[in-house]
Amino acid sequence: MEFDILMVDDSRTVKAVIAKSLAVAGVPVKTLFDAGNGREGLDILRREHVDLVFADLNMPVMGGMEMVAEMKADTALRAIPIVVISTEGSDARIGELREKGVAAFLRKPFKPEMLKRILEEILGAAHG
Amino acid sequence: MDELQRSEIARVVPSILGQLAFLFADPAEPQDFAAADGPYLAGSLTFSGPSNGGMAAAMPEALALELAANLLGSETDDPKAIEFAHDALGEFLNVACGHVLTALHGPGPVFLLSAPHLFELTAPEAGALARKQGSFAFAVDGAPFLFQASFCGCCAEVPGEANA
Repeated sequence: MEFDILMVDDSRTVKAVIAKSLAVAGVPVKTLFDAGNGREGLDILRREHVDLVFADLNMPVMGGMEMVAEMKADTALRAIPIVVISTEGSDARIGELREKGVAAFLRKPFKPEMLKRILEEILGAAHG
Repeated sequence: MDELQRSEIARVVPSILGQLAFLFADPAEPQDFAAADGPYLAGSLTFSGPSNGGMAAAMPEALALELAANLLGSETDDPKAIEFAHDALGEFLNVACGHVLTALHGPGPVFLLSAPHLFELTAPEAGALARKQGSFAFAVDGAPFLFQASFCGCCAEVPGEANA
């Protein structure tokens, strides 16, 4: 089974690292969408099928927390798992993310195997 | 800048560079910056929370290219590494700042970081910045790399329009 994945981050480098990490981890990706902020991410989510979202927190126009809140308030989007990848180190902020229903949190810098482990838990063994 | 801030920055910044991009930084002398070839790719950002301030980083273009290539798992002649070199520096700065703030304040407080502002410096400009209070000089395989931090306006201001 292949997955449609959305990356939401204002850093092109981070999105390239995520894409590379997915390849290294052997995750079967059908379509890899990318957005530069939460608003662009929501636009993609409302017109495309997406199995999982990677999201940064600090972004221009609309940040990750606001995007997560809008996804969870939208019946069409609330079930899509979200993995936040951020430099955020605050327990309070991470706790807030979990309360909002974020599936996982990865603090930068991260290793590809950490990403793989999280995806195995979220997407199941389908991707090997 | 107090002694704790200095020691944590000196410890955390090289550690993050190593974890992120497998680049290993040693302490260097400020005069190494003016002596190296420019331009330097640079970035700065501001942070706000229990304390406010800014951080900046600057490195020769070739080192930024190596940073990008290592982040991407590619070679320095990879067009993507060339295209992403400056963005990679900004990302390193973002990650380093987050970890420095956690090292100084613990996991309790929430900080807001601005998006990195990216710009260039000539070698003389980098040399002048390296001599300012709050600057840390490192070398990666002989290439000079500058990190600068200011807290609550008590050090020299971090350069770049983000702090204008």
